[in-house]
Formats: sequence, C-alpha cells, structure tokens
Amino acid sequence: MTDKPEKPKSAPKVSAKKPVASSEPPPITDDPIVDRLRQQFPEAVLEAIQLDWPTLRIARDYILRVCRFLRDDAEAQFDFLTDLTGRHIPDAEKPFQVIYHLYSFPRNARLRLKVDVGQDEAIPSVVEVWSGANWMEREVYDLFGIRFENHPDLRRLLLPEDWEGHPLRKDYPLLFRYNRWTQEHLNMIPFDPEGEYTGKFE
Amino acid sequence: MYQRDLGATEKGSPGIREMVLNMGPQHPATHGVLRIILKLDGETVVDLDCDIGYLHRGVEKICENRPYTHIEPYFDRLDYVAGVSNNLAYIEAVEKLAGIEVPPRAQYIRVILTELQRIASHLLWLGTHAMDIGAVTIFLYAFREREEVLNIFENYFGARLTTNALRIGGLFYDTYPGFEEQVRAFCRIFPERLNEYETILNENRIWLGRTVGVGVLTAEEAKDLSVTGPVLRGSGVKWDIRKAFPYEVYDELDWEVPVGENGDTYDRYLVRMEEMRQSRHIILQALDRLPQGPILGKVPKMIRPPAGEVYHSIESPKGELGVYLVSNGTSFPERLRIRPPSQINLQALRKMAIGHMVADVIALIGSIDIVLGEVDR
Repeated sequence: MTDKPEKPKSAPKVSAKKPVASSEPPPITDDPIVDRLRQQFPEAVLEAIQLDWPTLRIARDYILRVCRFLRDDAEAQFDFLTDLTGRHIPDAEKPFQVIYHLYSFPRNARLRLKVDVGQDEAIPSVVEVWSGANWMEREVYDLFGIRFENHPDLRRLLLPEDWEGHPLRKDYPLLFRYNRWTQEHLNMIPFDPEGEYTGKFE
Repeated sequence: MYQRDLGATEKGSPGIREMVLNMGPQHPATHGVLRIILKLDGETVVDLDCDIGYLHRGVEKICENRPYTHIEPYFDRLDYVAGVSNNLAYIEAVEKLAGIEVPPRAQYIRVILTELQRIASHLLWLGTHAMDIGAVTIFLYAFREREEVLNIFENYFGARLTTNALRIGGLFYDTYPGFEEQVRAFCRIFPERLNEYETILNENRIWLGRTVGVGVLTAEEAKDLSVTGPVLRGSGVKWDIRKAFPYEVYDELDWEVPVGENGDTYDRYLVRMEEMRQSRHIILQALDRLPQGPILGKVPKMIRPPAGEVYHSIESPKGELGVYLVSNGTSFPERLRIRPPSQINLQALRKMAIGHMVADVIALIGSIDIVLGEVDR
C-alpha cells in the first residue's frame, strides 16, 4: 500500500495465537499547533499523542473554545469537520468519549480530538463552529445517549422519537426483539402494558 | 411526533398561505425511504425537515459483534449500488490497522474495480436523476451501459451488486480469462455513449431550466456543512481523497479532478459526467500497467489487529466514505464507525432547497445522490 500511515509503534506483528499488546504511542512534543493550543488554553490539552493522525485529549469544558480556535487560527486552519462520533467504554471512569476528526483544506492535514464524558454529563455542541456537526451530534445522542448543550435541534436521528435505550452502548443487547416499541407499534404479539421489556440476549 | 416544529402543530394553525406537506417515505423520487416534511408558501419551500432512519439496521452494532473477516458483506449493503467501493473502505482500514501488505497486482485490480463501480454508480445516478426531472430516454441509455459493468462484475464475483469483492490482504479471485478484453471493450464504446447522453441533456432547454441556478451551494457553505464528493467539487472546491491522501496506486496514475463553478445542480451534473471520463482514463492506465504476480498478501488466519485505532477514508462515488476502527487486540472490533457520505451530504438539502419550488426538491435529492442504505445504516 502506498498510503501507509507513519506508525510510531513497532511494526505490528500479527499473531494467530494471542492478541498483540501495542507499545505506548509517542507523545507529540514539537507540533506548533499543539504548542499554540497549550499557550492559548493551558488546561485544555490533557494528552497529545501521535497515532495514525495527531490525537489530542481535550477537557470537556474547553471543546467548543478549542474547536473555534482551531478553525479560526491562521496556522491551524481546520475548516472542515470530517467526522464526529462517540464511543462507550463501560469500565472507564468517564464511560463515554466523543471523537472529532478535523481536516484542514489549506494544509491537507487531519487532527483527532477526544473528549471524555461522564455518565450523566453533557458536552458543549460544536454546531455553531461547523454546521455539519448537526446531524452527527444528533446521531451520537441517538445511539449513545450523550447530550449536547446548546444544540439547535437535539432529537433522535435514526431511531423513532419514543424508542427506549441507546443501541451503541455496550450494555444494550444485540438481539432486542421484545422491546416496548416493537410491541406497541408492530403488533408482533399482543401488547401487555404490565410486561417487562428489558431486552435479553438470545 | 417525529417532525421538527415547523409552525404547524403547537403554535396554532399555519399562516393563511403556508401549509405543511409530507413527502415520502413511499415516494419514487426520494430514492428509497426518505421522508421530507415541507413547509410551503404556495409552491415555494419555506422550510424542510428530513426524517431518516426507516432503513436503520444497526450495522455498526452488528459489526462490533462479528470477527473482522465476517464484516465485509455488511458493507455491500450500505451503499448497495457501489458495493466494491464500500468493501474497499473497510478492507483498507483493517489492513492499515493490522499492517498487512497488499501485492501490487491486487492493488491495480482494486483500482480498476472501484473505478468501474464509480461509473456504474454515476450511471445509475444519471438515469434516475434525469428521470425524476422528466427525461425518460436517458434512463434507458444509462442503464444499458451500467448493465455492461454489472456483467463484468457478475463474471468476476458471481454477483452484480452485493459483490463482497475484496479480501483483507488482497483479492479472493484473480481475473477471469477475457476480463481485460471485456473491460477494454467497455472503455472503447463508453466515451461515445457519454457524448450521446450529453447530446440529449447538455443544451436541452428543459434540462437547463430545471438545473441551472437551482440549489446553489457556495464553497464556504459546502465546507461548513461537511459536504464531500461531487457535491463539494460542484461548488468549486478542487478536493478529492484520491489526490489528497492517495490510497492503492492512485498516486502513480495520471488524471484530473473536475470542478464546477457555480455550485448549482447543473454543475454537479457536469462534474459527475467528467468524473466518468476520468474513471475510464484511470481504468485504461491501470490495465496497461497491470503487473503479474500474487493477488493475496501474507494474511494470518485470524485477523487480530494490535490494540489501536485508525481513521481511513476513500473517495466513494458519493463522497468521503470513512471508517473509524478501534481495535482492542481481539478478533472483534471494539468500535466501528462508518462515516456515511450521502447522509452527511443530505444535510445540505435544507440549505439548497429553501426558496425553491417543490419540484426542485426532487431535482436536489437526485443531485445530492443519496442511497438510503447508507444514510440509515
């Protein structure tokens, strides 16, 4: 492949027997944009490591300011939000993560931002920085249940408005046939209002 | 229940002239099961809201519960008119994460197949988009050539749409005898056929009336809305992932990125027509350089990428198709996010449609080129 990422790890060995533990990715020390960001917001950047793209862990309260700074800064110029998604890590102290992939047209560079979000915490919306974040945040809200503060129109995107639960959470079952919504709307079996619709693995 | 408050429900009845109209999900011009709630003033669109999710199958959830080798068929069923491109996005992400090398012959064949797929997808777009606007002849013409491509796919994989074409580390099949001749024969007739379509459309007064100046999206708006692919290029941004972050062997081949000027429906049409010409050009070059050799690299029986994460994207016919893959070191992915280009492009519909007629909404849906299998996943 010609498009090989500059993997900082030792060349990954693919073993058929046991999972390979990857070595720790190196921290970013000499990136001017990270330095500027640290100068501007001393408490915002919790961690900066070099994965396939530079990856920064940002404090939750700073994400909107950091995004606006990265978009408007004359050196960073991250004028395009490629992707916004979430992740559920049940064992972590803060079980949710929101992941931003930014792209800069003038510099042809990507940057990944990660924000840890606690169980019942909300995260500032970045729709006012990039309008494209609107549906992406709605999807994260829909599938993970992470709320976004000051989102102009935070509704479920893919699932019905009265659906219960958030499917991409790890504790949500894969086969969830006996749930309240399908019983009420699809007439599969008579709906018992007293019934228990918690979902189970089949 | 599902709609954004467009002023019709809680805040009293709509104004004297305004009315709310439901379009879809069972509407042939929405290309699947897209539902749009339109707020109209006479025939002019004042506001609209898209309701998606009728085809939601939870592909991302399913993929978290499948081994890496079993996931590929699910990608065929995202953008089901461009199966090979979808396969490529996933396969390359896994290869990048696991550090698997792909032999050059497989890379060239992948380029040929994805470019053929781009032509097939754009031909389907051309036929249906033009038919939505009222040109029925072009639909039959475009499907005639699409059939040729699908025949090549059928000979190659035994399937026409859900090809399941590639394997982690290369390809499953080598080319069949006569593959090269069949592809070259298609490339020989294709420019003439493209000229035929353009004779019908390019200076057609009805076509111009329905597309020129309709749904203008400026470059700034397009970037702000995260729009990619032909829609972004139609707005005049010369950006293509095949040039920006070349994958496979695109950096060895010589081709141009077409761009529009005005960002209207007509320019997006011109961009896609030119893209088909460029795809043909890429295919011919790749055929000339096609090396001999193995088609499958060294791949372990169980794919267990080291713990880590990767974001990889390719230029699918619809735009930037990205795969964000997080591995925890086992044979099941920890998290797999698909960045669906047509869903994110569909967000721009509201911006494009406001101020235009109801009939223009039909033209704009076609112009964005959505496939609901990918929008809803």
